[in-house]
Amino acid sequence: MFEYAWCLVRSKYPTDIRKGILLLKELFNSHSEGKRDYLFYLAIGNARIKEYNKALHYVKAFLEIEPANQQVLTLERQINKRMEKEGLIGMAHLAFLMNALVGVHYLLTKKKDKKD
Amino acid sequence: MTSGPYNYSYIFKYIIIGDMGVGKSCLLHQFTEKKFMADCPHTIGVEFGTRIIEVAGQKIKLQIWDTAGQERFRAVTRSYYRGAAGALMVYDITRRSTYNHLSSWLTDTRNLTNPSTVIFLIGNKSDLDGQRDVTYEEAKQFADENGLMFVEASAKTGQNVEEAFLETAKKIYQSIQDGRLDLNAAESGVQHKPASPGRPLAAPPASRDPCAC
Repeated sequence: MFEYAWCLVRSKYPTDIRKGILLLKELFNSHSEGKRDYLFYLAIGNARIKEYNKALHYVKAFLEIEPANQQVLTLERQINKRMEKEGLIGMAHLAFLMNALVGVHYLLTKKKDKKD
Repeated sequence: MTSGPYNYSYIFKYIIIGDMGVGKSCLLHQFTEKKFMADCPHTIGVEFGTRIIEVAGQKIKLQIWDTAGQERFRAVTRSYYRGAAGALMVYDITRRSTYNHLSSWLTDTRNLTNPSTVIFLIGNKSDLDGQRDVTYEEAKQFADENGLMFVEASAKTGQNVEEAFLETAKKIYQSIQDGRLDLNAAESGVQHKPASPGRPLAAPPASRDPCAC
């Protein structure tokens, strides 16, 4: 079941990833062994569907057990980087949209002005 | 001599395999960072490292996949063998069981890689000679019988670590020169730098998907 969940979490389809996350949660709750592995892939899965806050929550839970784990610290840095990057892209989109709206508004009012 | 954004001519893919706790991640860390990582935690799935080396005046980028040794990851790590140009198979000279499992690792490697893949056997923890459980001669004989290259190394002191990675690259490079390794085959584990500097080379997997899982 762990291998199946691992495959799902690495899928390119978000529905698969979500299914993998559910399986990993189940594994985490029912198996005392390998909890660190489940936490790691829960973080990866959530990061891959852009649920960054959830991903960071699992990263934190992992780091409480192993604070110096380089693999997980690297993952944390990557998640933060992506959040920042996508945040900036989001802002840029918004700015572009605003500019476009202002432009359209300007054109429309200009036309109106001419007619009048 | 080289132009464009790439300062290397080839990319070689390596995998590091072997039982848990033999020091695979420490060998990689020693090779890429020149440092010994004490109390290294068990690797989850796989880890990834790179370093650019030079063989016969050619710059070569090594893309190294360091796999988890725990049995529960065996199926997971099997998916990383494909297309490896070099396989570093590691055991711990102070733990006989890790040596006894080599035939199973070798079977996996032979089944999942191609015939030109260079397999290098590393007996790690050579600094702990007092606790030795496997003699050099015995391992050397196993390596010879199976056509493997072999050294004893220490990720802690760094002894023979460079040699293992570099000798593997030399052997792969020799295979290319001799025409035994087909660069165009998708699974050769070797990529040649494009002639035109503008054309992007396939990015190393880590930069595309940092979750090297």
